[in-house]
Amino acid sequence: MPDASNHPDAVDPNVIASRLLQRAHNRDGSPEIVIGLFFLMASGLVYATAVLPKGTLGFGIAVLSFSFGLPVLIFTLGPLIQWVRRRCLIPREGYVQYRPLDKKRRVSLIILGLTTLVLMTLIVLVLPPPGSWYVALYGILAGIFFALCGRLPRFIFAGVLTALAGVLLAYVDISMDLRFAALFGFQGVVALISGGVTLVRFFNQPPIGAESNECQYPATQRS
Amino acid sequence: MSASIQRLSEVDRLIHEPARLMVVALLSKVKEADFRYLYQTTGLSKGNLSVHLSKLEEAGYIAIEKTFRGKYPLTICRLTEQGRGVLDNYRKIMRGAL
Repeated sequence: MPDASNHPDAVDPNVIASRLLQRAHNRDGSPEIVIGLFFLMASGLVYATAVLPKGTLGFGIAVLSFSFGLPVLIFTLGPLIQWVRRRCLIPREGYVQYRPLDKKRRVSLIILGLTTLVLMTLIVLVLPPPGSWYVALYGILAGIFFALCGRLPRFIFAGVLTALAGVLLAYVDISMDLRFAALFGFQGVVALISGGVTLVRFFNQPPIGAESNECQYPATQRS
Repeated sequence: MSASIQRLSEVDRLIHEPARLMVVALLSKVKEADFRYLYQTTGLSKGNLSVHLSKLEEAGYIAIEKTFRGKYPLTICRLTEQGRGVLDNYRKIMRGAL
């Protein structure tokens, strides 16, 4: 096992802070629940495009929602999680106010969002249907991404399950749309279960008493 | 290279202590956080965290305010400009040495 103290990152305050913030972010399972709902929504929209007749109003709404609604929704997930935490979880998690994104990061996020939007539109409307290996590739990449993002055993487990589901669905004899609908749905259910169990365990932990929030030194009173 | 290593002696010892480094590093990434959040995130004991916060406040590296959010009492901590400067200097020295 490598000695972390030999690694330059081990004493980099940025790395320490990022890891602590990541741990705090994933503590209550709410991000997984929101991601799970997002994937279930994506699954429903893909399923709708697969079963609804082309040219109908429902089909058009499903395609537009998938192409434009989901990418926009991605940017609302973070604020949504923060809002839920502020409303419901301060007594247990404590209060934190994140720093607003700097201009450089905001611009790169907007560029990333626009690129995703264009790519999604192209994939849905222009490109020919990809081969079955595409589902397996997506499952494996999504699994690796999920595991790397979370860096916790439950994320790695969910990532492995997603990769396996992708590979299995590549061999199932159904249309490509239905394969993706099933894979998104599976991802959503796994994330929801993982987040739900984490949230229940988080609420079952004994809360810190109100008095523990007080420090033993005088401090200025905020008006 | 040797000059960079020799600069290690200039490291601020108040920040170099692991628990305080955790607290300061964490506060450098957020606008403000309360005692409960720091307690939950760093895993330090309440007494230990309290002592470290006192030392950092005495040195002027963090500012602490007591307030309420609704009915919940909050002890809000935030990194001061002095604290941010010291942390940046610490980061430069450590990166240079490693």
